[in-house]
Amino acid sequence: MKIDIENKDNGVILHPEGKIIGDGVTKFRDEIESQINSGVKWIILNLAEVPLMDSSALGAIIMAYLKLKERNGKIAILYAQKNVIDVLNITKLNSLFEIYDDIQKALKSVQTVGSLSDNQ
Amino acid sequence: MRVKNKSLTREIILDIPSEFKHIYLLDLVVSYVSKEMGFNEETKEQVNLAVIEAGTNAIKHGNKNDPSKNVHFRFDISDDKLTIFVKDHGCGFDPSSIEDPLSPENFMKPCGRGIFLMKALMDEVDFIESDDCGTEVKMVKYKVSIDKK
Repeated sequence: MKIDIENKDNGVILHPEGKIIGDGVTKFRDEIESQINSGVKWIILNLAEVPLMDSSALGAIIMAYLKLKERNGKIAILYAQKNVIDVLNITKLNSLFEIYDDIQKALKSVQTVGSLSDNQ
Repeated sequence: MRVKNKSLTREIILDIPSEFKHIYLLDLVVSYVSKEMGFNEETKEQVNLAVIEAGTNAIKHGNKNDPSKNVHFRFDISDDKLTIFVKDHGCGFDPSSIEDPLSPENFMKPCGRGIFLMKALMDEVDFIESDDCGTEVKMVKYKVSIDKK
């Protein structure tokens, strides 16, 4: 499992590739925490190349959601595959996370939050 | 990995040390087993995730990430169903103590969804008390999935 990083103003798009399971979850969680600790206000997780993620990976996304929310930030999921969507639906986390299949809509959502908190 | 042929059931056995890096090997073996079963793509991924969750729990909670302790997997392949046994060398646990991750007090917790997912993805999930120390999970996936109550 590898993660490409695309830095943007106030935020980052993470592009993990491969199943997020086993020790891949540690890498995934560490990268998210590193980005949050660096001060980003938003994260978009592009899951187009992630065929499967386990419950520990979901836990890493929940942690990110909570930490970003504390600073009026946001996390969004982009291009999730069917297997991942199924797991989000089963766990009802689809009601917690913003899930997009259009990058412009995802960017609009997270960047709005980022600029609002800039003005506070 | 060992493969045994019984009369109508083929048995595949895998032992992995309690390190998360071996979950990727487990994933490959489960994919092979699912292919042998003739499961469709959706069912394959359901079985993969359920076994990964069971294996992760066994490594983390059962064997406490001790690489000197193995997690034992047995896959019984028959015409109509796949039966999977996952056994660790921990101190056992009370399945009734597992909390509902969908309840409002647990929903935002980052952990506690593994067994919930196993039950949602498989047709049967049972926890077997073993004579020696440890927890054994038995999971079944039918070739034609049954409607769960």
